[in-house]
Amino acid sequence: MVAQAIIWATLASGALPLGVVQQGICEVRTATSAVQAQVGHVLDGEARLSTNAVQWVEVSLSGGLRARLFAGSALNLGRSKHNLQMAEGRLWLQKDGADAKPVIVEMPSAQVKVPPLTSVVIEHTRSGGTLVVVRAGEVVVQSGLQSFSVGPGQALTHSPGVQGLRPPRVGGQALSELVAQQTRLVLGDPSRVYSFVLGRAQGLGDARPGAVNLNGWVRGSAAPLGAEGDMSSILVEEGLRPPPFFEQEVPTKGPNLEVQVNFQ
Amino acid sequence: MWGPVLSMLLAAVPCGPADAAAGLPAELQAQVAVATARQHMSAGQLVMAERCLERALAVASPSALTLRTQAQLLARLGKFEAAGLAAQAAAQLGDVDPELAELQARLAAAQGHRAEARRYAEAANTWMADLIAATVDDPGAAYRLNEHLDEATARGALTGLVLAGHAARQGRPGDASHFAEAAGALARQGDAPELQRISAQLLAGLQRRAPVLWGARVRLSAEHQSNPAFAASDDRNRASSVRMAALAEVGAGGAIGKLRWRGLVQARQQVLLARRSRFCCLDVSSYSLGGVLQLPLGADPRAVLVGLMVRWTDVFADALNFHHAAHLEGGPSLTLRLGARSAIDVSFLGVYTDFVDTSPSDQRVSSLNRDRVGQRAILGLNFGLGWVRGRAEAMFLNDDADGDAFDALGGVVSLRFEARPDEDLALFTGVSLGLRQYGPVGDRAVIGAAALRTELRTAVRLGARVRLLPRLELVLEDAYLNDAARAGHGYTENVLSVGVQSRW
Repeated sequence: MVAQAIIWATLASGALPLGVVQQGICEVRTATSAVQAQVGHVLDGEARLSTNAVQWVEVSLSGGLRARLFAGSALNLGRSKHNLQMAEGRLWLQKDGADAKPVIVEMPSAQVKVPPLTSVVIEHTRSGGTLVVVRAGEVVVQSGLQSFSVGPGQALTHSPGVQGLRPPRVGGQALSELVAQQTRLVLGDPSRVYSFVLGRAQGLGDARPGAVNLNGWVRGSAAPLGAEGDMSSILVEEGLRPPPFFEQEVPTKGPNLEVQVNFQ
Repeated sequence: MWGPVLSMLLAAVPCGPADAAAGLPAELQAQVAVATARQHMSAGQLVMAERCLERALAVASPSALTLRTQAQLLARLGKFEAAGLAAQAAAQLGDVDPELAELQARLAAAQGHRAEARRYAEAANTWMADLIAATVDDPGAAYRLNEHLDEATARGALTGLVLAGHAARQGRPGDASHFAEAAGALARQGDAPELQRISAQLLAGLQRRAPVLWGARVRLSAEHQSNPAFAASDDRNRASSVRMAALAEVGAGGAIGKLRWRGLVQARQQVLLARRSRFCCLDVSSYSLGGVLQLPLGADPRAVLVGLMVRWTDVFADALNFHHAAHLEGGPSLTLRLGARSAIDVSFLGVYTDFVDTSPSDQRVSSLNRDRVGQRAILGLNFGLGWVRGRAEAMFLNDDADGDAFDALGGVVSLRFEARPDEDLALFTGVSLGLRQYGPVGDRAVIGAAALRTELRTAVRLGARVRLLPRLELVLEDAYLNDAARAGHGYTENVLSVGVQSRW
């Protein structure tokens, strides 16, 4: 009944419904209301989504867009499904191929164009500036007349008080892994990849080991000489090879000749 | 005809909040149904989740969101193949995030499709994907995971656990125990009690399951030798031949507390097949026995390993009637791990070789007596670059032979690589360059530079192993050897080998 009421209230407000809260919880503020939205809540255009320090939310928006808003973040939905405003915090967008038109994420000093087949993490704070990290696909970040394409694994930063964007560079992996880990924690490992890996590690005690690789099992001086494994081929070679000197080339000396000289 | 009717029926299936979304556009109705399904999944109500997903699929055409959720649900229901198809359909609709590729890798691994799992994991290029790939023994993933062993977190601990499994399956029980210990230490530091408990269980399981780990290899090959007697290059009597060669070796390893041990017994037999009458003493039989003790100094994954090695090799021919040589070497070593993908080791070996029937007898004073006592200092670097592994070595050698002609001082550098572009194929190559100065013979002050001879020995190997059956490999190899010395002393040998080997 509550859900029905929310839906009819949304439709009655005149704004177009744009999406649905998929997981988590956040505050949804419109011109007329503010509610704590939970799973199944229908979102309309021009709503403001915000999370407090312990909240996290995933919403699906029309046109194949999945947006995850992390703790302490705020996102304004535009009138159309192609326009978002990132007020503060961390946002993870995944856009599939359902809608060919890119989504524009606007921030005070930059905007990010997110085309289809893209996954991107955008972090924006007033004090720290903007950080864009691409997990898949390619986005275009624009600030004034300057724009850069950012590819997978790359990160682009825009610091407050610094004119223009810094060119993209590698090093986005850390944030990319962090958001994935936080999401897995919040969602309880929905794909069961963590538990699968843990199960494999735990089950090792009963698993049959593979063939033992005996290469280098007991490493000696044969290997540096180019022989694999043991010394036998080296010993045959060194026993049969021509000597560095023939016997007749070696002057007589040594223990078979002893000369004793007495001076008087 | 029945399609629309079925859709109408499915749309009428009860699904909590989705029932209330009837007035919305179809796409949003489906999204509400998916959200409800995911909520049911979180609560473990998989039947309800399935019902809601059916509803989502009935009211609107499948979206990437619906299909990924369906794949997750089917995976939890143990329907891996159907889950894989749903995930594939999601990917075709443009779900490009590595999360999906991780799921696909996990599904393929669960079905035992190792190559497919590795491919998806490589596409995902994430820590979790590397963990999945390492559970199906992807060396590249294991290589990348090592950097996480620096982290005193749950992530570092889980990485240690997975690498322990990888090492155990690769037949490295010492490393497996070491990683399990490291995982326990990282879990303790990272406040992850569950992982700490699992590490302890794993460690105990490893030691209980295989207190002694055994391995064996048998190889049989046909080999063409260009110069089996190592005659000088300008010797007119030089001739080539063909032989059959067999190798059998058995290795064992284990740990006694922190002390690890390994032992190896090896036997080789060669039989000349061509021009037997032209050669003497080349039906070689050799036996080797060796052992290593290693002690890690601390539980850190990068702890220094202090070791001791000893090895005895005896080489005979003609049904033990001809004794080529007996060789003993041994000494201490230090190994410093730079993660599991690379390690530096230093060995200091003493060697003693008695060339029994290939050297003048000890009763006769001869400068050509090859028997020797020598020193070897070896610096080695093992490295792994994903699917390529290698070892670089530098060796100092000093031989004090009974005959002055075989006193030697020199050094050797070698580099070897093994590449595994595919699970069933290994390519290997190596080169070794050794410079030795023999002598001095006679009085150097009188003879001058002629008292010394310098020789450059070059050895190059190139080969491939191709898996024919789960435990049978085809081995193709060429080993080229050249000793560059003055006329009458230098020699060249090339062995071309085709064989099969089996490992257990």
